[in-house]
Amino acid sequence: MADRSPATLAEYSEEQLVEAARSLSDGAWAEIYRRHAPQVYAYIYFRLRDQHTAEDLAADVFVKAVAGMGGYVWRGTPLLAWLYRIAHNVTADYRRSAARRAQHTVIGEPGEVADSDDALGSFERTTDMMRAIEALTEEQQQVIVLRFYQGMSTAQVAVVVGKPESAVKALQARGLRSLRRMLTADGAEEERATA
Amino acid sequence: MTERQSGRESFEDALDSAIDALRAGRPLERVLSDHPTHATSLRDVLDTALLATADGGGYVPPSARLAEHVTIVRAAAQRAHMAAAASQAVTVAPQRPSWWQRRLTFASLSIPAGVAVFALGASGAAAAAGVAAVTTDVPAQFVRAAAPAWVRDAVPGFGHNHDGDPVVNGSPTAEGSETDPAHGDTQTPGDINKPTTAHIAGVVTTVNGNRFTLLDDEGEWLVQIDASTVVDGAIAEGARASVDGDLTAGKNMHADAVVVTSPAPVATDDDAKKTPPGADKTPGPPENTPKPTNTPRPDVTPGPADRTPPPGPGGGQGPPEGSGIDGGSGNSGGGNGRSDE
Repeated sequence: MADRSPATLAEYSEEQLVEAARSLSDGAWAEIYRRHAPQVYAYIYFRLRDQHTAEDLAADVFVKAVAGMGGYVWRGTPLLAWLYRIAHNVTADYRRSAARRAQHTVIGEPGEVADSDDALGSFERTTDMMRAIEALTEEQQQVIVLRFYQGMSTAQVAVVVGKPESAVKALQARGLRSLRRMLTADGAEEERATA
Repeated sequence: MTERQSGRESFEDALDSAIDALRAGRPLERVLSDHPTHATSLRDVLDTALLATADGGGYVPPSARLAEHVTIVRAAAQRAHMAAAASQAVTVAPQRPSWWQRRLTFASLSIPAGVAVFALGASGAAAAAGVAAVTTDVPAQFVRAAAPAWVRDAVPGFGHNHDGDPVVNGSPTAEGSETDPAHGDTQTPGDINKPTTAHIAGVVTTVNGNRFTLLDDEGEWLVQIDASTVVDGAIAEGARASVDGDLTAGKNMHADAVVVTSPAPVATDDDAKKTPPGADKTPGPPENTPKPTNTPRPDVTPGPADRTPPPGPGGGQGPPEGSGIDGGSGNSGGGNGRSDE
């Protein structure tokens, strides 16, 4: 199929782009990747906290989307919601396989950490938060990442995870309470250790 | 949202509203004042929420590798496109029919074969019945009567005599095949229910009530007379007589007319003790009934068309009930719908 110029496809609406993608136009898929890859990467990164793994898995998400495009029907729902669902499954599969391999994840880049106390404290807080988020359930992780790291509304999160808004709010509340318990317990242990 | 407006607001709803308000830039204390019922619980959780988003949450943006991975996605789309084109070319070729199509084809071929086998079997059954009738002494009408109606309908010629005339089951007179052609007694076409008439001539050998035996060149015949029989002369042993009547079975005959052509020799005292036929046991023609004098001797062959079959067992009216032979309802030999219990 003839590849169209990116400038033309960039002006496509999402519905038009989906239609072109259903005909397996590699140009249409390239445009879809350009539009949504950063968000898919961010979602995966906040789940795994590994840049390289997140980049590779983001590409896997779109490869799986190409294979499954035949069953995708445009109903006005953002394509990103469908991509997030694929990303959730890809991430869950990776974490299960990583757990079996007992692979250590790389948290951020060491060179990015500043030498100031504030930066060190921030890094430690971030590390604690990331470890706490990783301890949440899959559904709670998904909601927390989409809500707080992707900047989505409750309604948007509900579309992505395929649950009603009331269920999303409940997962959000339980996730935040669990994070607080874990972070508070870590803080109490640290105080006792330094005391 | 004020407390009044959110009087019955759940904690989850309050938390979600508070998060949106904080994200919009509203101060925490103002947000908590909007939900006084849940303020204490909200404060702890909102601190955690703020902490989660602090410093961007440690987000590391993607490197150039992410953009380079677009080639992977393009290649995947191209492979899928080629695979789709190849599958369409394969579907053009003749495909193996689906399982239900194969079964339908088998059924459509097997049905004619089954019909042919059935017809052969039915023909064989009919042939066996015919052989049985010929090789055994089972009267043909019983064989045909015992066969179901569908055999008669399905097998051409079954239930018909040698001349192709239909045979009435159970009718003892409808045994065309039993008729001896030497006597010229054959059914005319159309005489479906007509008994076989015959004409014999010979010597009366024995007399017993309303029956006598007559001996001719073909053998001894048993003749029965009754009140409807027209008797011309005295039937006695030794008399010569000719008989016209209906064949019943074998060399049995029911006489319509008996003509004594030559009287018996003079009877001795012993002979006089025998009861002549028609004298007392079997009523003969009434006294005042004029004897037929010019009774035309019927021809040998076909009986008069208007001759009414005499009543009697098997006299053309079909077998009496209980014989187990149905006159035409396709009984398979079990009686008139009755099972052999």
